[in-house]
Amino acid sequence: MNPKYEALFTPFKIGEVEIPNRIVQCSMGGTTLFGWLEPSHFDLEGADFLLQRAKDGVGLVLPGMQVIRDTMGRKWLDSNRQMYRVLKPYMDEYHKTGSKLFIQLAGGFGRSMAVTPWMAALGRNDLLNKLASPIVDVQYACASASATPNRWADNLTSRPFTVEEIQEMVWHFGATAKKLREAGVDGVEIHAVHEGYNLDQFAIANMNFRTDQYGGSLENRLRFATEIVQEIHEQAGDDFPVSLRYSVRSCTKGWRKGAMPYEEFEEFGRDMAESEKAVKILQDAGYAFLNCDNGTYDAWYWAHPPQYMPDNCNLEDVEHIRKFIDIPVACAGRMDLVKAAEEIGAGRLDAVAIARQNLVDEHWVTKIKEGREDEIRPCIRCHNGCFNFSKADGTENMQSLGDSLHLARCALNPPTMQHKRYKIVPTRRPKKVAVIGGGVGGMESALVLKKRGHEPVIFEKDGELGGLFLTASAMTFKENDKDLLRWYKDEINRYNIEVRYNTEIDDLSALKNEFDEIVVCTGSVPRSMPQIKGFEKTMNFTELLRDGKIKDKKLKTVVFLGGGQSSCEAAYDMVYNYKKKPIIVEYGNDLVAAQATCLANTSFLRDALEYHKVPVYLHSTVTEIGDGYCMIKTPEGEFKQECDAVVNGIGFVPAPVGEKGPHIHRVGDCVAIGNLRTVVWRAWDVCMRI
Amino acid sequence: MKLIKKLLGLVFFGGIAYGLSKLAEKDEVQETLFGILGEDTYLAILDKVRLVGDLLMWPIDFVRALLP
Repeated sequence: MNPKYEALFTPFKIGEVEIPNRIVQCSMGGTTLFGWLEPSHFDLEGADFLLQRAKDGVGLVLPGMQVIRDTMGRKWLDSNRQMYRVLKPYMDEYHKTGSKLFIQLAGGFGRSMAVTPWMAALGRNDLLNKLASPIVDVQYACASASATPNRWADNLTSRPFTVEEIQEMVWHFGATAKKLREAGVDGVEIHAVHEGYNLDQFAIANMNFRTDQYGGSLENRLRFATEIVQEIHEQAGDDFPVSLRYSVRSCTKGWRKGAMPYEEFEEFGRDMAESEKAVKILQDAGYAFLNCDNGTYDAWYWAHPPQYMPDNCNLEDVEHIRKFIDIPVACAGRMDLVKAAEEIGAGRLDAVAIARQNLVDEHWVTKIKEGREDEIRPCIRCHNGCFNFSKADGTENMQSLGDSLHLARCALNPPTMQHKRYKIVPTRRPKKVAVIGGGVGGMESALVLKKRGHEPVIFEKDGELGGLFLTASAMTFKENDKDLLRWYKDEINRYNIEVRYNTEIDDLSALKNEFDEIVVCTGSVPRSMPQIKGFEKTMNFTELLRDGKIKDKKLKTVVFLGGGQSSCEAAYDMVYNYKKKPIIVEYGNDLVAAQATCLANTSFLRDALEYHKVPVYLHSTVTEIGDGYCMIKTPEGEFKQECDAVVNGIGFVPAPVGEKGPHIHRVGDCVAIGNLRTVVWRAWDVCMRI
Repeated sequence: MKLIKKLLGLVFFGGIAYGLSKLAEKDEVQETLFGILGEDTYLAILDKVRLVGDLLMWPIDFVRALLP
């Protein structure tokens, strides 16, 4: 092992429980032991995933949040006796790994409940909600400290919890913790005075207007959280360790409005001064560990940082707050492991909390221990497979039903949380397979084929592997994407897969003699709109980003035709890193209004472009492109915009090579335009069966 | 008598459906279907089957969890 990681592999204590190392797997929705939104039951897929993480060497595993009362079915978590009977032998097996497991118990979502359209319809209508309440009570699921607006749905307001409901919930926290302890669980984590969840809504003055014992002073606003830990100690024993998921600062400017990492602003949520007092109150109440980050659902990119956020974005705040308490503290949020080890070694931090890296590479801890960190597949923080709650202006949560049922899958690693569906089965008939195209789809296909025992050969028309992903990863802040490309190239080398560079294949028939099967992964080309006068003058993303025109000093004002993710990312790179003047023209009613693109990612882009005062024209289009100008048509009228270039951001169209046939298969964007998840998952779907 | 016939029919067809679903889980069967149907049709069917499977499992978990 590289000595720079050594501090990560030293033990520490939470209460009286010794954790074998400093690596904490953060809780991720979906990696639950007892089911997600359905009634609680022992979830075999989640249990298998968590056990594998323990075997890999994670010191403390926190399964996905478990609401203390089922959202569907409305049973209390302590009521299913069978579940605890199954949990006991599981914990015996789990403890053989040496890892510890704390179950995360949640007080609910409150106004952050990611309601879908049908849930919003129930929540807005008292009668419908009452009729549905034996199965799902949306108004209860969204209940909060006070009447506050839902994060996801317009015209949906949370109702305040009654004191009786709060105290009923507090008792069930204690009862559940007692049962968990009896089943062998090492501790619990309370979710959460963090991220704008229910207990956080009680804690934040601007979200809590109560005048009873749960509102007003900071002590009162934290009473719900403090009563929970006291009740757990009462029922499960004083020595049963209770952790708290905690956001040091809310980094929130107002309802649905977050703050940039470099922004000076007036805090709407919890500021540092209040946090310094809050952690002391929470420690004194009995919490034994603080698992920290920043943010709320209104500033979601702090708690679920996409690539646009800086590494270690919460570390400074977490280390500051640690000075005010004596209990150990972990920090989450784009944590760089070398930096984390340095901070732990220097005594400024107690543990590092890592979430989605655990989904993308199931052996990352082992690889570090064995000095093979270069082999770790990096998380690119896309949230496409694990956490794709998406929203645009006027919509509720746009997540598909399949994704709602299965969170915490991984765009880049299909076997995660679906290990029976996606698995490498050695082939009985090894074949020679031509893979046309060396983008992500081609490389993933080749790797799956090779691991199964086939002999793939990649044909790449350029002199470098990567395809369109070379363009996508060219932006300044896309270091994780660049790491992923490096990883793919290394894997292709490591598996000794033949690549024929600078070889463009136009005619598949020429390959049929040499190869048994052909996998076409030729990707896509930019969409064209010839009806726009002068469209041929547009610049594509490859010219702008990969060919480096973004750095051209002559290029100052650039109009993006289309407000999708690529346009917004390029515009952000342009204004933030190159101090240029992007303008976005979008036909729809919002930027990045795409299903499956997480709100944490899209809200950062929307907030960042607003902060940098990038002109955005919605419901608009470009009607003409000339030399040094374009005509922009908005609902208010048409005007001439001087610009140095117009970038074609209206999307892509599939560009397959050759005809379909019995031994010809297609993978990736050459089938239908998607994202990395659709590319990688289809590569597996196809190549598992060749 | 009618009820018994219905029950027997249910058991018979249920058994066949169960057997087919178990058969479809086998990698050799999947490879064969993939070859016969072509990947587009196969994957389109697989996608729907998975969603139906998920939707069926969800209430089964639901009911199972509600049982004492």
